[in-house]
Amino acid sequence: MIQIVADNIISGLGRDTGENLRALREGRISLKENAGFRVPGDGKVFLSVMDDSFIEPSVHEEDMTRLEMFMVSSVKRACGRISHLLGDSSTIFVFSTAKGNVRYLAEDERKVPLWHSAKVVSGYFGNPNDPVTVSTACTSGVTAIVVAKRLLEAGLYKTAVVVGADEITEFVVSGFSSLMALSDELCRPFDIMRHGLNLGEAAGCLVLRRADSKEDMLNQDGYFKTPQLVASGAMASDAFHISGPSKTGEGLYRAVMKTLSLPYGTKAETCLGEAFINPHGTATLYNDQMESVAFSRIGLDDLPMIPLKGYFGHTLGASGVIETILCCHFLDEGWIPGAAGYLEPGCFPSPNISSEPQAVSASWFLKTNSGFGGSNAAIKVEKLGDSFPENGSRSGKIDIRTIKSFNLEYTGDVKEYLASLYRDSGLSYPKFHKMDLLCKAGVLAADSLLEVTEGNSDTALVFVNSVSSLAADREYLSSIAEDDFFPSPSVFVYTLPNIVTGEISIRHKLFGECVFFVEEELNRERALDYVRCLFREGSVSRVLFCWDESLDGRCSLRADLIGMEKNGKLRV
Amino acid sequence: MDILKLKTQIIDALNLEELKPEDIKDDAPLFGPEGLGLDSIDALELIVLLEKNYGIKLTDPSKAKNVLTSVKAIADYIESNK
Repeated sequence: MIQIVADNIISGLGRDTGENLRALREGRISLKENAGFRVPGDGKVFLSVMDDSFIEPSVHEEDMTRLEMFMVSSVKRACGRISHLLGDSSTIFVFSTAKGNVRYLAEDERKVPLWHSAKVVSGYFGNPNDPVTVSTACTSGVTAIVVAKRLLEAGLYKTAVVVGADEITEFVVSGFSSLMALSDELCRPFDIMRHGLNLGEAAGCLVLRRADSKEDMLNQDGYFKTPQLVASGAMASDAFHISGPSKTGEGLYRAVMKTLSLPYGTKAETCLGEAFINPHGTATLYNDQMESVAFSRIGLDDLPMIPLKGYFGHTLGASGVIETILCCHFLDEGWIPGAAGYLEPGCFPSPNISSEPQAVSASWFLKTNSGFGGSNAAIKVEKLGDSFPENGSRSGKIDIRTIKSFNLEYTGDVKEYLASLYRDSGLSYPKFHKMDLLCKAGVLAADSLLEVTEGNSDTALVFVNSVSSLAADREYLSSIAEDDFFPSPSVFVYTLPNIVTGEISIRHKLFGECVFFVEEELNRERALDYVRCLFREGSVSRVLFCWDESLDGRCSLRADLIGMEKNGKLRV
Repeated sequence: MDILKLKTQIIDALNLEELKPEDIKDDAPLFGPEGLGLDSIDALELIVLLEKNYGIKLTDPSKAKNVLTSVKAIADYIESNK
């Protein structure tokens, strides 16, 4: 059982969770018109920015970036009562970020790798373990919580410090603008007049702890009236498009159905009890409509729904973490705020959204993220009931076996090399040429290891590298040069590393689990521990596990198709 | 209006590596299964192409939808907005 034991939010609304909750109670929003960023078409943008005074005075360190100082500040404020756990070897840091220190791309590239920030922050607290970094675009936050939960349940660690953070940069603002995803007014999630999102920046910290009995639960006087648990969570892929959401909400539908342990094709019953939903709710035309379709398919359209991005915008890798934290406190306090920016229903079937705050006597909530790459993630958080939930057989031994492998090591013109492999393979998939090198290599591996059209949900994709999407990041940066400012939407999309899992899911019609980790060096044993977690949950029969990196004239790809063994035989 | 040049620019911008300019018919649909099968990101990239190479801003999505139907329609739009 995974208990929520501490949290902090730093956003445009305030320096801690209390300040953020107070702002929501008073109906304050932190989105402001900002003229400081160049965007195509010279349009207006609304942003929510963290005030630098929200950084803890004691963490102003020269070799730390602004984002890292916010991360450290958030962990410090969250963990005041439990700071003794941070340096312990049974504690793992799990980071969620889309673009991390991308601000330094031109100036000091050594700061840019996502693992670098993760190490700076976990190192600050003297934690001896290699941190885990999840980067799956806008689903990073909820995905990181699910990953942390799995690592704890498997008995690998006792405590997980989940840190979600992203900041506003010209890189990100121009990129979303080139995709015509930004609104030139305050964003209006699920409203008829919505026409885009507002970006925000935030850092959040959510601490999870495995309790093996009721007595083992961390005593936390004054935190929640009733202890809260991360009960379940899952990821699923749309297998539809790398930037546009599925019209049927397929991936979100599947992620939520798995989270609620409901079989595909059924509908949730009212016996699920009192609850509320915090959707992704970006306020783009297509995302909100997709979510309405998905929640209606699941049968949850009657539950009160509270989109939160109208208050502080879309905070990217932080959003899943900070919105989950806010919902934990709504659950504890028995109310939800009104949806900022929402006046008139604008999605069909219409979800149950109110612009006014309301009392809710819920025993659980559902939080979802959906994002580029067609990725979707969901978690269910519930109040501890009378009986202590069974942990199931989550820590049993799992034997895995590599079924097939596909490796590439090449130094030279990687683009031409991958193109020649594509030609030799006899594939006909013109989209291949549109992809970045990360995706091309990944798609070649998947084509070699998977049947061309699989159409299943039990193949999981677990991708890892050390540089995230750095090659695409550099290419995009050159499209936003001072004197040659033409942000390229088709390049920007590939500056999110998990697009590779999206491309593979589309090509092979895979609706299953996807994740992208960024690590300095491949920690193969731990990555395989995560693969075992997936098999243990029972919904996965094969995992495509892949180290995929192409940069500076070098391509390095090691892909294994992994299955689970039972009684010495491969389980199919 | 140099329509061959426009086709080359489109092929380059959208990485249509398996196509040559002569494969693209002037009035063939660019989007949808009967045409070149371009998608929403390609449409946005065509908008960037128009601004970068021809100084034409096409920021209204509904207008863009009417202009970006075929190579000929794009060429006509460039011609009439010079």
